[in-house]
Amino acid sequence: TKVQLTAEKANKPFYQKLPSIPRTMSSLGSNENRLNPDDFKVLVLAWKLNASQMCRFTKLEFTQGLKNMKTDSIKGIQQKLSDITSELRRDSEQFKDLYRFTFKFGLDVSTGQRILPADIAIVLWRLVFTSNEPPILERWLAYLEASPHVRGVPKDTWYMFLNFCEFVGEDLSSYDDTEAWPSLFDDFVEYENDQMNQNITKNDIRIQD
Amino acid sequence: MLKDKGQISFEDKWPSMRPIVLKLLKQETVSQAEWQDLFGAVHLVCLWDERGPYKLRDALQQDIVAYIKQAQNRVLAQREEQALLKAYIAEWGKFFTQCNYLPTPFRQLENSINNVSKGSSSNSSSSQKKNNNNNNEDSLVRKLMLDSWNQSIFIDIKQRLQDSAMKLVQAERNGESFDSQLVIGVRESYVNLCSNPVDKLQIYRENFEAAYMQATEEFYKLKANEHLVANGVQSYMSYADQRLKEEEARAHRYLEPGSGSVAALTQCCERVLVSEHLPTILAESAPLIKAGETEKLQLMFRLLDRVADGVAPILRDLEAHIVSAGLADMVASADIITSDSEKYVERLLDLFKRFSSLVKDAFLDDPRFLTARDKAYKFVVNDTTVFKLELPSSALLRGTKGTAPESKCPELLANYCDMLLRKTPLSKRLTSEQIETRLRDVLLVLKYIENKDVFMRYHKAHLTRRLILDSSADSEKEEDMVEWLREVGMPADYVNKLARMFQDIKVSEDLNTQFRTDTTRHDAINIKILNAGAWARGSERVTVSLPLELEDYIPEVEEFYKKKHSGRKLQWYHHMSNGTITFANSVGRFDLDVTTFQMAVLFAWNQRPMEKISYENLRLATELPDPELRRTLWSLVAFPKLKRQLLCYEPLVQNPKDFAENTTFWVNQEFALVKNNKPQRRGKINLIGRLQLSTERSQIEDNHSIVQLRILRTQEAIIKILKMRKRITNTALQSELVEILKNMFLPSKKMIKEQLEWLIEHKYMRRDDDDINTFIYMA
Repeated sequence: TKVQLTAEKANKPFYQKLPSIPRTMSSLGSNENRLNPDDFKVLVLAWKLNASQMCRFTKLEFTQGLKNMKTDSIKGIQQKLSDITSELRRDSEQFKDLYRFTFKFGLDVSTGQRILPADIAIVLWRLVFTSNEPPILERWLAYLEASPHVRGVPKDTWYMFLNFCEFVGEDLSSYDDTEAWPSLFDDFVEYENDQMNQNITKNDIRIQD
Repeated sequence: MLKDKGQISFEDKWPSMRPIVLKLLKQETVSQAEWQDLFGAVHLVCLWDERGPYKLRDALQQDIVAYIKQAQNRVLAQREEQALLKAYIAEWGKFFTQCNYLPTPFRQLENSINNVSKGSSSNSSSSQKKNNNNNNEDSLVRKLMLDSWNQSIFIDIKQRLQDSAMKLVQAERNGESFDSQLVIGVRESYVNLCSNPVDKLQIYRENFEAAYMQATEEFYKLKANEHLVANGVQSYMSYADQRLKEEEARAHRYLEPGSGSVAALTQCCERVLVSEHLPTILAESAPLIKAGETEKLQLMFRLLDRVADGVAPILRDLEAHIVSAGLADMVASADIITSDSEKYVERLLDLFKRFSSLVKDAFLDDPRFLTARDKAYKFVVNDTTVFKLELPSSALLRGTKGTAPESKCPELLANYCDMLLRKTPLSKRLTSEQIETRLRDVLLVLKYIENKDVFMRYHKAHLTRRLILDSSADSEKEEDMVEWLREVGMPADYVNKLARMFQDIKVSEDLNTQFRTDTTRHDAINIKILNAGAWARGSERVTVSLPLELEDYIPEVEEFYKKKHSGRKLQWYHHMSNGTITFANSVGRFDLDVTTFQMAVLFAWNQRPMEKISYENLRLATELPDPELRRTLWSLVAFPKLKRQLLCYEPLVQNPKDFAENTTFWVNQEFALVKNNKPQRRGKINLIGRLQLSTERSQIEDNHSIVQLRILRTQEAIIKILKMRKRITNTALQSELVEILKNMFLPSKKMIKEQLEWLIEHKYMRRDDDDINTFIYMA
């Protein structure tokens, strides 16, 4: 996927200040360190710009977004992104906002999607947790990858996953499926417990041998 | 008198008063004059001598104490316990009687002392009144007497008294008899002795009651263990039961009534005799239940119901027993019951009756045990070990594991119901009353079924067949059953549809009569106009090329009906139709009841009775879909009840799936009904068998539609609850949901969650931002 700016004619004064209109997102980075579309900072930028769609910013989003960020240069953007990124590690409310934004961001607006396809969801989960990965994340994603029947992730499930991570930490034993967790988490925990039991049986047999 | 004013002193009067006081104390006869003199003297002393009342009181006390000392000596002279008690009771009796007389002449004394001590502010008249009202009860002199008794004799002797009394009680426990009045007398002295107006039972409770409790506890601590070791638990249970009753009766005799002592003592006995041996007794519960020892169980129940946590373990044992015995029974007879719904239902009912009588005989139908029975029986009924009904997963998106299998019980129950209501060997064998009893039994079991919707579906299918084939054994019973289903709480919309089905059949009968009078020649056909909303099962219609004889009726019927009800659309469900045809060959003529499909197939030979027709050509002629044609042909070449089949074919195959395009079929010219190995020339046979209500494909859809309907019902119910509550916790929502749906099915946790997710997704509701376990309705 190519990150691309829909830059029509730059005729607004704000734009004219920019040395050149970046045609692609990669030009937003310095020569040595260009931004990749799956870079966390791109997600942060998209969030700050309140982008409606992945890999693409509209001019309005871009100009309005930069105004909100109070910056007007590529360097400024880079600086701001670094600041925000470190701030996100500290401020859980900010992160929650970014996290929730990520779901909307991942939907294909052109087809009116309401459920995030599993493959996209997996990529976005990795991305959004780049700098503060919850202990359960890898097992969760491994489960999703191993479960082709899980086609999509609804908004509620996406939102609740953040609560789920906070709640279970790395230990699933405290999980209670009689609470109103989305059913996908029930399935996941059941799957994990099954795996665990199998391991235990294997070990037991080995010990007996 | 006046001139004596100021000169009458206590010292003057006391010498003449004292002999009378002593006489009174000793219960010797006092003359009228003496009695009155005493009153007068008290009056004068109180009136003239300022210090008189106090001196009088002190002198009185001295004499009372002296008297008590003498009494004490008389009591203590008794060495033997019973004699001691007797002496004490006698002395006390005398003294206590005097407590009611001696204070009377001294009432003036009390007024004087009270008035002085209360000071000028007190209102003497009210104080007077009070004293009069209270009589001797809390009079000063009385108190003086009782307190003196308490302080001198009682304190010294009470230990011996108690010990002696308790020894007597002990002796009684060991079977020796004695004068129970002795213990009662001691107790009464304790009760009456107390001058504390706030707690009149203080002395009794702190001494007598405490000693009684302690003695009882010590006695049974010892005896209970002895008995248990020597005779075992079961004997111990009756020992404890008997002893508890005895002690209660004894407590009523020896403890003060209305003091709460009896209850306290009973509790104490229960603790020592039952609570302390609870684990030992409870260990017997499961084996006794298993062995059906109702009398011993009743005893155990009676004993353990007295203490906390005594009954709960028995309940658990009972539940475990019903589940394991019930399941073992089902598994053991799996072969019979899986193939025979009558046997299955009978077995289930038999179990129910067995467990019910156990609960009745052993636990006297105690509600807690009835609940335990219901819970466990429900488990047995809904168990899936012996056989199960596989339903497709509710969320087809995530079909990894499918849903949990459900009990097949409702299906078999519906089958049994059908056997009772249809003309069958079973229903012919039974009287009307027997059938009713059995139908009631079905409803009883139905109560315990979790997936009642499955029963409803099967019951309705059976009813449909019975109504269409006119094969009900008793139409009155049919309609009764509908009402009974309503009574046991089946959903109203379901029951209403059943009622509507009967109505349609009745209306159709009238319609037929009119059709025949309107068009004269049609006495051969019978039309049923049925309401799609009440009858339809979502099954698709099947195309078939009808025999011309039949096809011709269709426009006529439609025209006739349109005249009566314009705007109503008629659709023909040929797979539900049937008729009787006459079959003739060289052997004879036979009346055959056949389905419309069978008719369509057989009519292919009408113009060419001797020909062999290939499968392919039959399909062309009948236009039946492949699976229907195969099934119909199979019913004509391999009808189980026939020795000579109607059609012949080659090459032979094992099942209808193996018919090939070029398999050929021809009419069996040797066909005949065979009776006693002899071919008959005439006869009637029903070839319809079990009327097909749906095609093969829609049978899978049937199970799907059960699930679909459940999803719908669950969503409806969630919305209904949310609309009412606006905001509800997950736990409350779950329990309300189960309450609403329990007469149809038990919604699984997974299904509820999936429907909640769907409703959140579609913005009917949302989660509370601060509490993931709370849901909020969104209008």
